[in-house]
Amino acid sequence: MHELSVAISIVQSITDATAAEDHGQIAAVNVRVGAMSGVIPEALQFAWTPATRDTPLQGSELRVEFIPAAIYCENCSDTVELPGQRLVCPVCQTRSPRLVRGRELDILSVELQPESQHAS
Amino acid sequence: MPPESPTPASDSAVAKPRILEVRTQILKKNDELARDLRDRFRAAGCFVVSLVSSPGTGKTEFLKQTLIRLQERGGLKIAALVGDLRTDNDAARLAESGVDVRQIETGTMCHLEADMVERAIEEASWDCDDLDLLFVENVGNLVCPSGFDLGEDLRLVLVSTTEGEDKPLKYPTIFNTADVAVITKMDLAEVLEYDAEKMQNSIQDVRPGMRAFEVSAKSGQGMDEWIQWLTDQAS
Ligand SMILES: [Zn+2]
Repeated sequence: MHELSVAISIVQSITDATAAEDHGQIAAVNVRVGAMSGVIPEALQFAWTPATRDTPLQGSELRVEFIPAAIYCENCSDTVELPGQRLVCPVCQTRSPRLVRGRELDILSVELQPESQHAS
Repeated sequence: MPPESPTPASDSAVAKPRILEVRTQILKKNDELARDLRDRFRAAGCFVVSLVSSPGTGKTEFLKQTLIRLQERGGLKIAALVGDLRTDNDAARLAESGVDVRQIETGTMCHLEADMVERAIEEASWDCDDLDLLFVENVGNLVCPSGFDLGEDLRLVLVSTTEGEDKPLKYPTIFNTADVAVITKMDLAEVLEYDAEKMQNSIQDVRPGMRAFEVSAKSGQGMDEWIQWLTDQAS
């Protein structure tokens, strides 16, 4: 379950990035996970609760945007999205090592609780 | 977009959540540390090879035979780090080769991270300048190690003839992040009716162009070719 390590890394990065000022309560975290990143979105969701416990992110929601893998196919002269993780063009069956998308493992943003709710 | 129903900006009861951009890579810390390690190894002239496999691939025996053959050739100062959940059995077996071996006890961790490699080298008091070749054996696991850069020059993935020719298709990410594959236990190929072409095709489907050696640590088949290739890469 390396997703727990990954979830803890997310919590640390966000805690570091938001520590400087009081932003109020963090409601949600948006991340991007590529098909070839080695991280399973479901497992990451599962790890989120234990990873955020007793941190400023406790109770926040994790939103994962899944990015399917894509290769550049020499034969088709085009970037093609892959149905899975085999680097084989689904159009012409040519193999290509040129991965264009799919390795993403990024934090995008956090959503803060609206001020009115925060104040109440 | 919702239909026209303008909300006064002053209406704080329906205030939208504020978005704070935090654009960063999730594994930034590990990646930066791995980059520093790689720079350090390169400056010291130490070539680093990491090994990943599932349990039971014969990884330790393969590495031991590799170390013995490299020692016999002479001329290279070699060390090895072995990641293991609890026991030091693998480290003890590898030390039989005469190479300096240290264990990284990972406890509950299912993979190695760059800081564990850095710490192990410090604890061993190894001077990278004195080393030509360093092996880092990851925990037996084909899933978790894939995303973690250890500062290695070469990532080697092992798969055995006993695991089935579709194994690479089941664990595409680890094969995709590896630089070279070694198919072990070739001495069992015949009795298993192992399909070499099918295995090579599986590997090429997930990592087009990757070199895949067929070896048997037991019989020695393919070992010379592998050692030659490895020393060429390291030189
Ligand atoms: Zn194509």
